[in-house]
Amino acid sequence: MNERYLKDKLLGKIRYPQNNTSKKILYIKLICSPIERGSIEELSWTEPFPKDYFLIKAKDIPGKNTIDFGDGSFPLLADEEVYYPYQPIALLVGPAPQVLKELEETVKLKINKKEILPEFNISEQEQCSYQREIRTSSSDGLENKSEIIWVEDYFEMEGQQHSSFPPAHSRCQNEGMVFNIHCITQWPWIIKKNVQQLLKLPKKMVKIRCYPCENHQESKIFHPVQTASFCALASFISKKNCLFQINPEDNYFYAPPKGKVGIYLKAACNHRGELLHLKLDFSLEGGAYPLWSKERVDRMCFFTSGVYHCRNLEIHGKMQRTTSMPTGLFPDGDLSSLLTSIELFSNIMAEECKMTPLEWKTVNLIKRGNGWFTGALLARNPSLDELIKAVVEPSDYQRKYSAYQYQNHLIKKDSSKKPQKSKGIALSLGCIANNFLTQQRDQSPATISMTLDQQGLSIELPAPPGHGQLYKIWSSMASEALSIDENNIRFDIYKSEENNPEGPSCFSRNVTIIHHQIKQCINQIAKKRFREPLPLFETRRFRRSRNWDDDNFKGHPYQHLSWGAAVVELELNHEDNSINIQQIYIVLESGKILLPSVASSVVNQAIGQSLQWIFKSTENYNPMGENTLPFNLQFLETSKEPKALDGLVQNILPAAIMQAIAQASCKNQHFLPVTPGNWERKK
Amino acid sequence: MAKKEGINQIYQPRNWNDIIKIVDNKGNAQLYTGQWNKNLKVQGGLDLHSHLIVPQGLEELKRIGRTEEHIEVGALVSLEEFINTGKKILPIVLFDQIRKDFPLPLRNSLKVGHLLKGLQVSNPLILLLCLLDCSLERKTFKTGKKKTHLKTQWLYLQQHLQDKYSNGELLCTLRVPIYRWDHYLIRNIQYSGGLLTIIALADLTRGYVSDFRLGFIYEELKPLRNKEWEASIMGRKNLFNQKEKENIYQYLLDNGVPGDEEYLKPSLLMILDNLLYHFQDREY
Amino acid sequence: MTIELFLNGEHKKLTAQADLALSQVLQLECRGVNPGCGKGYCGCCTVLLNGKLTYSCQIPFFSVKNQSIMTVEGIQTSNIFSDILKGMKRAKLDICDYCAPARTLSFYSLLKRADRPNNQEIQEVLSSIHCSCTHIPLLNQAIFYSLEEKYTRLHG
Ligand code: FES
Ligand code: FES
Repeated sequence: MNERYLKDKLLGKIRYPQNNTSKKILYIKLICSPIERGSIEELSWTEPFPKDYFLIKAKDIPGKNTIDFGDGSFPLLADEEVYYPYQPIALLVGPAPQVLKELEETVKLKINKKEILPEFNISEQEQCSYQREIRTSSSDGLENKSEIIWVEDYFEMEGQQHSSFPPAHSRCQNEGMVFNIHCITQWPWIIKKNVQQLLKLPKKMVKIRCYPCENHQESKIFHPVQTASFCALASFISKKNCLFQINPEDNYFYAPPKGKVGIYLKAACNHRGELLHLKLDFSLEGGAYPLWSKERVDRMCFFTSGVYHCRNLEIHGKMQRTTSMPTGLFPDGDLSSLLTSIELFSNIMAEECKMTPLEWKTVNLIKRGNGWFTGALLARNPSLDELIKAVVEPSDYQRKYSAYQYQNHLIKKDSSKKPQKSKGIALSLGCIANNFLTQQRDQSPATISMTLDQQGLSIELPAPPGHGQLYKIWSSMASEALSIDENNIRFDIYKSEENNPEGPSCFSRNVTIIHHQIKQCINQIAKKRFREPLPLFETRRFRRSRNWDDDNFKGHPYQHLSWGAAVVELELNHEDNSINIQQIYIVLESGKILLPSVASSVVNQAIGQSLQWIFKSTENYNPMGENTLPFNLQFLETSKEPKALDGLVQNILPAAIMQAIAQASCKNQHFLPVTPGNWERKK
Repeated sequence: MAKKEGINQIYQPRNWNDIIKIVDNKGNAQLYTGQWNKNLKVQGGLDLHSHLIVPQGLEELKRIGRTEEHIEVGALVSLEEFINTGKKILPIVLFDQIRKDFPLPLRNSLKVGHLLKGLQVSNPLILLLCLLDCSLERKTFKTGKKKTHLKTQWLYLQQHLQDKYSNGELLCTLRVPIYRWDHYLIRNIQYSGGLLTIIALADLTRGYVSDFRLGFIYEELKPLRNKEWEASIMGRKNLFNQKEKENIYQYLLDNGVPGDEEYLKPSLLMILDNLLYHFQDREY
Repeated sequence: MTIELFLNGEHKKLTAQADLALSQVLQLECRGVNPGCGKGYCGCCTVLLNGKLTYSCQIPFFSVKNQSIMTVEGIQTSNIFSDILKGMKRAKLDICDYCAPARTLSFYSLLKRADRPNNQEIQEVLSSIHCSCTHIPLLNQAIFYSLEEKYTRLHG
């Protein structure tokens, strides 16, 4: 790496939106709703505001008072009604943050309480924002057969929590009514579109400058949009530069939403353990304004049977509206909850069929040539067998599993012999897909363009890539193919106005797509190089897979699927139910790994995230303390193309841990997070 | 600078006389011991409505002293310094616990006084300090007819927690007995009723218990400790018998800990059963 | 209130409200302080207060009167900084932009204090910045290399 750059980094010369030393900047303070649901009666202030201080209400917005994500939207500032606690109602703007704090107290806000929406409940039907029903066969023929084993169960999981680093501060620089918005985001286009609509401005007058956000969870999709819109609005009205800084007291931004997922599963197996029929009924909690409901529900429908083969399905999925903050989006939607429950369920099925989990899994694994229920065939080999082999052998899974099972058997026989500690081991499998299902136009495209001229090569990207080192890889790729000096290669992010919009489906860390496009562009330019005069221009656009029919749910929407397997061994202390994880083996098949060290830190972070999700705290896992987890990571590189990695660990690890706990405690787990209260909870 | 929110006033006295004056005039003044943010999970936070005393000079408060039996630490010694000085002579359990609770940068900025004043009662550290028989020096300012004078009083921590901390008082020195406990056990039982923390300390000589401490802490309740149990254990080879264990559980219930026959009781009995086993396990 | 202090070795007078966190004041003064959580959790706001590693969001402004504060700008000319730089380069560490200044300071405090820190000391310094986005084994490696650099500089 460039030494200058590293030095700048270390000295903190990389700027962030909040690093503005100019004294002439206005600060913004949010006025939020103190109650959950109600209608706004009055918003007034007793004393006149000092000069340069003012209040912005929903009525002052020149354009459309909405934040629109293509699939789902919510108002920027609540106008008449509030639907969730801490919903923003107005903005206080002024040059000194301390004075803003004082002024906030003089603002009188009267809200009449209203009845809140029903709590999250899987059988709730009325408050649905979206639902999907699919039925490929019915179970009628199976009902009466005697050799069929029926299993059913219910799982309830609280969603993952988004990390709040680095905070999504934003700044808006008003340069003669051209709005330069500085923010930490990976979706500049969404911000641009929303600000334009909000202020009723032409395209040219809104400019976005993105700042890097490194390996942090890329799920923070709507916070930057909100903070940027607040800034732009304040800057539009005040005609000055504005900064929105998130303070630790801002509950609104520091209480990231966690939606619940309820999953009911019913399955039929024959005596050989083959999965014959599966019924899935699930409900997602979408908060007050459900976002991406279609995408999230459909994605879960597509992966109904997880990594197992089953074509006879009955699916009913929906998204429920509740009185809470809108829930965000993770790279794979809510798939982690579904895959976790399917893995837990598969264990229960295996038990009923009198098989070990490994046997059951091997019988039912999805293989090359197997069809999805959508009618598509799995073209590439998922290599699940190799993955299983790669985790099972080093961890000695089979022997340990039966040993612990025998130990449990003894305890069950004579409960007075309950030992102080017991152990459990479990295997789980999972997968992840990279792109969005939806075919809505503004949600999917990603365009790369490249220009070669006298100055060198300039590459324009739709969004900042997941990691800074990718630039390095691409520029060395280009310099090799075109034999130009690396210093003459420039990267721009979303510069030209004519370019097509980039929707959230183009996850910026989705190197799968961008890497491929860049490679193609470079090849094209290399071909044209000495035949045509400079400048040479080349562009590539990502298009949604054609063999996917969204309305009828037919075909195969995903270009690549990544797979993974994990084995976890842990020890449970019965004295205080504390858990001590002893070994984690993870093997991932996510194509070519471009940056090994980045990939392993992504996995490292994902392990932390999963543990936080399962145990609701990081106490059991301090990523850098002395008790660093003993985890063995291996990548199985089967293809030459990079594939999705983010979110894969969250899809496999929780299931393995929960199953291992189930084995050690002799109690099947149905609830996430695994807190003592939930251990004993009845379904 | 009278504000609705924020600190009322900050004083920077140079000697005890100044402090006397401040405490005398402003009843609710307190020493500033590094605590700050309300949101931090390990800290009790700063009472924003009180006056703060940030002494300049006053070496007495920043000193660590040693007598034959005790170590005396001023309230303004930083935790890190305390750990580094006492490492060789004070019980390891205390330092392990402080290290676990506060990362290095916080230990640098927090002062010992924070342990006594800032922490919530439910923090295991408080219980630990009680079990170690720590005492503290409490300075009270008494206004006589003509002038105010200073009264110094040594109190056991447990006593201090029992009677209410009143205005016009300052906590100045923490005194920790020099005694290395060889064995310790800290367990948290999280059950439907809440979180119960158990701390046991012991010294064993040739398999006999030569010294023993046991205490409990449950959420907002004061630390629970019964010296009778401790005395009865001394000199034994085994710890509690079945009846005594039941008694301990009953004692907890009597003191306001919500009961739970299904989970809390068996866990508690199991921990008490295994105490000795843990102790023998852990040799330094 | 206005207080006098030594910021990066310079005598300075700063004016701010007394009960603001130091991080909020420093953020405007120098580049190396990027507060994240404001709760003493992330460690992105770390500075050296009288030579000791401290979270600046956990210190009120009034309490730093006449104290010396060092941010990453204050160490950029020191030898140890160049040791760290070399060490990180050798370890091929790709450090996260946001917390890089805080990490550098924490390395500095370790290198300055000890020639041969034990494992516990290293872990403690590493875990005082809580975010795990940077690959942790590499960070460890970087510390070792920096120590090595320092050793060769001093002893040849
Ligand atoms: S901002 Fe100070 S520790 Fe996070
Ligand atoms: S803030 Fe730098 S590693 Fe996360």
